Amino acid sequence: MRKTLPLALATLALAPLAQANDNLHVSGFGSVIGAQVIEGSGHVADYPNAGIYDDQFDLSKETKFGLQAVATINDRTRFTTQAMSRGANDFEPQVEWMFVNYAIQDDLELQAGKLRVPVYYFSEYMDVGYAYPWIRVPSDAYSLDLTNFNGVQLNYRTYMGSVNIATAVYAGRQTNNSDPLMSYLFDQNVDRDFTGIVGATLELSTDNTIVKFSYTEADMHEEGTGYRGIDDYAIQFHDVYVQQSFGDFTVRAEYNRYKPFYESYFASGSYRMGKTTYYVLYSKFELDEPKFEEHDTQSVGVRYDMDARMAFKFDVTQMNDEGMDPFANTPNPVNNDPDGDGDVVIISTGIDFIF
Amino acid sequence: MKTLIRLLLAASMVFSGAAFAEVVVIVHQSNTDNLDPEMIQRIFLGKTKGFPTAGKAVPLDLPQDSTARADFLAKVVKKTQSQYTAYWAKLMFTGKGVPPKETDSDKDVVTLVSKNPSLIGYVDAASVTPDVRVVARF
Repeated sequence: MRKTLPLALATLALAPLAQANDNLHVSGFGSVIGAQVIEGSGHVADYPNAGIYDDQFDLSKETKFGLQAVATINDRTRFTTQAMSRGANDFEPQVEWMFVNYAIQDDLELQAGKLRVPVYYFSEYMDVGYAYPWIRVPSDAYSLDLTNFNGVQLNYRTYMGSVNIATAVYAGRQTNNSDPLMSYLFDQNVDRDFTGIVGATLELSTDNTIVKFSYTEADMHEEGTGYRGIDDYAIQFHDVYVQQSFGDFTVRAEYNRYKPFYESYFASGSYRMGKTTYYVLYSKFELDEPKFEEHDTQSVGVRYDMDARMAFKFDVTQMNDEGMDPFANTPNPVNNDPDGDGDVVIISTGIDFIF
Repeated sequence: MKTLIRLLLAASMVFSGAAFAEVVVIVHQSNTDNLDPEMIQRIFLGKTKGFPTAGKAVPLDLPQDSTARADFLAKVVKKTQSQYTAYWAKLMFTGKGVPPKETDSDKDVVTLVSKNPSLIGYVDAASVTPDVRVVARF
């Protein structure tokens, strides 16, 4: 907790500046989320940050706060930094983004610095709970431990008739020392080094429809797991996302394939009635090794817009574990229990806000 | 009788005017571009950063509790208040844009737009002055 002090001080220092200086834009977001496993032994709600609940109500796993400052240097150049304090990381503030934007043309922009790898549709804003209906992004389908990278990204946007087109290409590298997810899963320190990350995204959208594709590849060097007796991998990540609105009813679905490890996907429907949005969600994760790690999740939940900048959420999730139970540490291929002791029911509630 | 009908018609227009306030989109007097609703929507969603010929386009928003804002978002931007806020949160927190500046009142929008050829705003039709050019009515 002591380490949140610099962040708080930075906030205080920036607040008067924001009013005094039109070239500085300070904003932020946060979520206070509490959850409790009511059936089963434990649940990984946030894979990349290893946010894991047990049978006691816990407000410290997904609660987070982000503060962002954007400095406009001139007509073409902006500098952005975003620091986040996460419960899953003992609230220790960390710089999540720090980059410069340079507008080469009105519709072509270069970003360079510490960025998010835009592999998933929600990758770049999965921490901004306010921006999506669910209490959290679908856990099974959002498990990649490569979330940030240091590099460059070129963004281009245009339109043809009523179709908006946005595309990005990016390249860089990322070192995850003590990778939170892998170190947890393998119960030992795991370092991962991703080099030669290159990728591209393409998003087509109209008022009611969004389709997005992404492809990323990299070389990954791993220290620690000894998984399959290999420590160097050529990885490839494919993802496709679709969203369609029919008035107040919206469906969203996403599929991804992470070679040579797993595939995962989700589908969700939501219905908005004024300030209230109801949703159902199904997601699934399946490791290539049959029955080693395999789980699917069904959720029902509600979002209520309390204010234009604040939303309340409540969610009931059931996870069905078909693979090894990471909590009982019983590897399924040996102690085969097809019904799995990892089955879980968890209730979650929280508030998301932006400012 | 004709006078009575005219009076009744005039009265009904006044009442309907009160119930469904007209929102107008305004730009600087020097801006002669014609803007269709899709172009205005793109400017307010940060998808276009310039007018067809009149240079850089910078949108201005009214306060969140304003009726004209809710009307404008529903009719032109085709989003609810919270969808609009969420949309801009996505761009803002991924470094892809800064949301439109929020002004204090219709009067502020008219004054700012009258002085700066890059600005574009929307106000209740009753707040318009001859200092700005109306490009669209909704």
